[in-house]
Amino acid sequence: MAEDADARRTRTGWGRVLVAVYGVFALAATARSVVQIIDRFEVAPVAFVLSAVAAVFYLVATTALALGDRTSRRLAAFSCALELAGVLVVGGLSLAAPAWFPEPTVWSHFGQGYLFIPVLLPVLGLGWLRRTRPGVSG
Amino acid sequence: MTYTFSGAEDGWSVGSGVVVLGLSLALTGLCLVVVVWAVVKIVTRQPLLLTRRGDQVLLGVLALVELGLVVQAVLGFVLGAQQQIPNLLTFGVYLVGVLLILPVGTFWALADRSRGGAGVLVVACVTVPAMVLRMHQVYAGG
Repeated sequence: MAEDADARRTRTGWGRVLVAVYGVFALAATARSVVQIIDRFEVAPVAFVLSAVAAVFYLVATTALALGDRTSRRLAAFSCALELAGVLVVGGLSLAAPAWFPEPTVWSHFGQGYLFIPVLLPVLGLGWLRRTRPGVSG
Repeated sequence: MTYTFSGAEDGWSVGSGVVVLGLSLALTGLCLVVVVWAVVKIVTRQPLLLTRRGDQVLLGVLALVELGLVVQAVLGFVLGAQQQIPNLLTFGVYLVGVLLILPVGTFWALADRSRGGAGVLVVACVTVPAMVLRMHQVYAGG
């Protein structure tokens, strides 16, 4: 029962809004990378593979945050941490080696094209997981 | 029989282009009304409840927007194909993708009995105009 209550907590209140924003990014990143890969993969293989990786992590984080049980929370924390690393590394690379990124990805320039939400989202996700961790009230 | 673009057909595309633009602007307006409504609910700490008259109207507005988005998708595909725009694939993905936002968002919002539900509607109704705007940029070749 306690497990159920914890699971509910991750997806209630602001957690529900967070899952919604994650869902939008999962859709955006997936759609973008599918179009890039089937339409013009040879133009920028590095950038497009990274787009696809980003899409997978967004999908995993969305699902895991929505489920919220113990395993999912671990999975969510893992994918949020990797997303954060991804957006920082790709963001940095896109400025340092723009030639690798002839076309923008979700993570280019730290997510500038998406109002910098990509860099905020994993931070909020990790913060929310910390706040709703089992054994902490309210 | 040879197929050529006649003046009448061009007139049709220009005319329906204006209709789509008007439709997009109207849908954006309705979405922003829903956003304001949902923000008021968040601020006044009222949950989203299907038993309330106001929330039933809110859902009606969302259904209307979704219907408009379906019409927009049909007109968009016809126009995009007719004009042979270069990024038809991206344009098509936007036209279809935007249809998912409101049904999924509303479902996710209604399952919550806290203020979070209204927050989800804010996210959904900000996303739709953002996607519609991008869609117009893609159509214009951006």
